Amino acid sequence: MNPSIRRRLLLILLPATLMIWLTNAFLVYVDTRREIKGLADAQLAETARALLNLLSHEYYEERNFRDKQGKDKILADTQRLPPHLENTLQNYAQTLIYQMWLNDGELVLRSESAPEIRLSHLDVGFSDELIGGNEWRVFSLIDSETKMVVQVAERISQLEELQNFIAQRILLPVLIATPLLAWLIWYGVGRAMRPLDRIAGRVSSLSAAHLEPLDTRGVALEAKPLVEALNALLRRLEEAFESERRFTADAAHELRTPLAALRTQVQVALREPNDRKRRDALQKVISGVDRASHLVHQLLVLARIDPDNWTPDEQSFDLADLAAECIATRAVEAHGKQIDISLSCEGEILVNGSRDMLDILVNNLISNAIKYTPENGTVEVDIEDNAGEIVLNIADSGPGVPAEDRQRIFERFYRRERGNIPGSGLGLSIVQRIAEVHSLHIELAESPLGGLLVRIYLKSAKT
Amino acid sequence: MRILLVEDDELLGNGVYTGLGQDGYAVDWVKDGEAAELFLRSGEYELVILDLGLPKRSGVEVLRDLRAAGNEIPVLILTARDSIEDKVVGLDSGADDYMIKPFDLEELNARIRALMRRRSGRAEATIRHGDLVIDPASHTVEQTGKPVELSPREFTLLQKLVDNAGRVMSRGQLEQSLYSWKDEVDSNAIEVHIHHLRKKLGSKLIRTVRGVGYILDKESDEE
Repeated sequence: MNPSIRRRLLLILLPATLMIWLTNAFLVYVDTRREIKGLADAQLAETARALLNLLSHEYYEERNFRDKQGKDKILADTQRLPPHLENTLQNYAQTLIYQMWLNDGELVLRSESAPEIRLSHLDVGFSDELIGGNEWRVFSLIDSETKMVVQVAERISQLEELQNFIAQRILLPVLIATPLLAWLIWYGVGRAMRPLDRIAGRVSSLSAAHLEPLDTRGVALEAKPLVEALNALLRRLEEAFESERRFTADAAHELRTPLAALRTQVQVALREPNDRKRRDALQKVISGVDRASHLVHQLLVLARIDPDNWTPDEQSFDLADLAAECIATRAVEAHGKQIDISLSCEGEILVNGSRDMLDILVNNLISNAIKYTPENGTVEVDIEDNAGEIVLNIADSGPGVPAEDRQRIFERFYRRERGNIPGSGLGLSIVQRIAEVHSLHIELAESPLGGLLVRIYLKSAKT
Repeated sequence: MRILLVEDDELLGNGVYTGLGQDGYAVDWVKDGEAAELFLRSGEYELVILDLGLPKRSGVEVLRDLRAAGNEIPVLILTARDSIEDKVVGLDSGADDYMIKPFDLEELNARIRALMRRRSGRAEATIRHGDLVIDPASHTVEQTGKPVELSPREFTLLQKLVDNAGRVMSRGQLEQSLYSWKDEVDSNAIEVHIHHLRKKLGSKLIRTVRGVGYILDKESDEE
């Protein structure tokens, strides 16, 4: 499955948010627990103080009644606590208990549910005690004059219930909000991604025939680099398509003339009653087929070294050796025209590049030089090594190329002297293509022999 | 009939040159625009077959100059370019017809005949003269309904005389329409052809105007 930005954002944002929320909830809970405990303690102390004040006062007033029945009387008096205290205590009947001890250790007053043994052995302060199987928080207070001790206790489980309740109240929103948050992230990210969908929609509506650049107005800032990169790609594609279209059109047109020639020659042969003349025409058909084949071959070579999808298989090889080979393959042609062809260079000259491609390049240039040099002319090939910069010079004594035409001769199908010298008009385009993919520099000049001088600057393999 | 062929491609030029020669046309063949202008200046041609992609001067340039100079010679363009714009440019520059490579020699022939017909103001494809019916398309001649065998040169000569019926044609004029500048012409070549024509079609048809040339009488004169 492809990675999804939406899913990834959800998987990052949701746990992160939950973690923050839960940490926050935990801290609030801990804080609240401490607060509750403090408040409960304060309330306990307050109750104890109120009880002590009240009871020690009553005790003094009624000490004269103290007789052998006194104990019972005081006990009975607990039924007559002041109403506000009575209510408070009543509310906590099950959870709040109290006792009142005289300094001689006599229990003078206790709540109904309180045991008859002392809640805590302390006279003053808080303590946690286990009473009747339950945990209680006890506060003891002693009256400094009468030495009476009041002890008030609250069940700890009561506090815990409150704490749990608060914890629930804190956690509940988190639990409810989590799916909502998940949905919000999912929906929000989806919405934020919508510009991408729109771009995808526009890209998918493009076709090879309509490679218009996308409009960058109104595109989200984050998506803009993508759209701009796409536009750059579209421009390159458009150029490539355009050059392809032009090339195909040119090639088709160039093939039309040889085809027309073939057709007319065949027709001439068909109508010709004279055997010798018919054979002449058929011979011309063969040379026409050869020419068309040569053109097709050159077109294929040119198509194969498309600079956009071809990387030279770099290797280092001896250029002098290559030049000698090329001259050797063209020697028969040259000698047929009494052309003096020579190579001058000193020893091995190593250069980098694709040997096969540079072989085509040198071959085409030498072939051109021979083709355009009249009989009894000269073609000189020499290789200079200027401290790492290798220059291959091919000079001929042909008619040369005037300066204003020198760039045009690299154009596809451009031929200066079309009628007289056979050729496809692609040889130099191939040379230029090969030079391009090797990033070689080609220079055209007038040769000392009177014709054209081609200089090719190559990279030395020795660096 | 004399045609100027302007075509830079060796093989195609040779094919058209030979093919038209087979049909009895006298063809001169040049390979660039400058040579074309030079040859056209001689004014000996009745039709030009012009390639557009020429060295030195393009076919369109040659054509424009030709028309600018007031020359109304029929021009048939041969070209590899087949777009509408190319055709429009060619025709607007003054071409009379347009053929796209590769083409058929027979069709080229038919178009040449059509151009010549139009030029002489005829609508019919066949030429009638007295009891003669001349069909330039099939190179056949019928006399009183019976076919007559003629060589291509004889046919061209007859057609030239019929086209110019009532006018005296000099030997030079007839030679021009029969032979290109490359051909070696015997001094008595025209006499030999006339002799053959008279043998095949009857001696009364073509009259000799001594010291001037030959004439084919107009039909109305015969009746």
